[in-house]
Amino acid sequence: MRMKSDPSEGDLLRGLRAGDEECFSLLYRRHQGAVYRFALHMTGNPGAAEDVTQEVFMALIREPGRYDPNRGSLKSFLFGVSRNYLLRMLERERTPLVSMDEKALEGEAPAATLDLAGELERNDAIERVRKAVLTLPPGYREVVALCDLNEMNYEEAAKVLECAVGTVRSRLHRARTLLAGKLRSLQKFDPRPAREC
Amino acid sequence: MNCEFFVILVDELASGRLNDTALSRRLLNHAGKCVECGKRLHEAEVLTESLHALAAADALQQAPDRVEAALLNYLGRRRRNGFAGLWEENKWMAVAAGVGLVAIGLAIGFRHRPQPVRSSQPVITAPSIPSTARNTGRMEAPARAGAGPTGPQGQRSFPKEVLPEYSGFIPLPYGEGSAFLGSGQIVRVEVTRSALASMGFPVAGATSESYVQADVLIGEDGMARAIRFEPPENGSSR
Repeated sequence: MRMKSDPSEGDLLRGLRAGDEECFSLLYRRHQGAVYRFALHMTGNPGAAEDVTQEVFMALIREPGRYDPNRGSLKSFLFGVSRNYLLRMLERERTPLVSMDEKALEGEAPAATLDLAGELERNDAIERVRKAVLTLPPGYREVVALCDLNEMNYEEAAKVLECAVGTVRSRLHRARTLLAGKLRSLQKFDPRPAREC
Repeated sequence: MNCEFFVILVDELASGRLNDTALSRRLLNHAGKCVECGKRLHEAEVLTESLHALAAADALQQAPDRVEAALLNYLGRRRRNGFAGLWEENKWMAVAAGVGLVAIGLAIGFRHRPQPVRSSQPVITAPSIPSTARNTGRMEAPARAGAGPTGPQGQRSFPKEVLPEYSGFIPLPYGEGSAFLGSGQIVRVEVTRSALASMGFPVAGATSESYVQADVLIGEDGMARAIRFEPPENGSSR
């Protein structure tokens, strides 16, 4: 199949249905990063993220007709498929993905102001945020991963999560409140001396 | 503007998702006046920055190249194999469906199997068993003039072949040339003498409703293929 310089997703999907490898590669390269990162933010495990990415695109190869452009973007569709795989995976494993002290993280955090701004350049601060996200319950984690880490708007996230926009908004609010509490606790329990801002 | 309303909207304000400019200004004014809400706004902004930093740190994260290679390989196999590839993927489902169909077929066949006749009535005598079958393991037609069973339906012909372990059995007549199966299940039954006579066996007292004990060989198709009468010394007559 001879490709246009910037083929539309419709063209690429038609090519994929015909078994065109080039079309598939273009589609894959457009979306694999976002799918992989979403899975990584949900699991914290690169191997699991790799598996999920592979499964999602295998599903697209097997049944490209499952995607209906009238119901949303291909990106939303792929995130929705990823989410289903991820929830099954998390349900199956039922083990904490990170070994953080949930009690400490969930504990009543002091009303102290966060002092993370000065540490943002440091990798360990980023890793702390990552771990805090991973300790959120999956229902809250996914909304943070979609809206805050993948910059989806509420409408797109609602399509992926198959819920109302208001539900996304309220879940995100709750998730961020939990996250702020966890980060506050992490800062409190950090054994290293506090840095000067 | 009160603090409760501010708390509801502070995350949207801090993450830039609030599109209403006038409302944003009111919220910011409130944060400037209320110390607690000022802290809340700062905390929400720091959280937003932290999450953006995480997103930026991961922005270049991608699935390894081997994933694309594996997927292209998968796509190529599907394209080359066509229906064969579909079979390969779904063969266990197909096998399960096949097993299910066979099971249904067997169940239907079993239901239509001929039922043995049972009664507690005593049996008087059993017909003689062809001596050639006992001695050679080969089935010969029972004797009436050494050819085959006779009765109201007249003379019948039987297949000749039988395996040694089934010696003593007389093939039942299901038509010309019906094969006597080399395997099956032996079932002990009691048959009325009149029924035997109607099948062409030479029975004394053919109109009697007394019973004769016999072994019936059931073929794999559930049909009765042959019959063997219990010798008198085993107490077949009652």
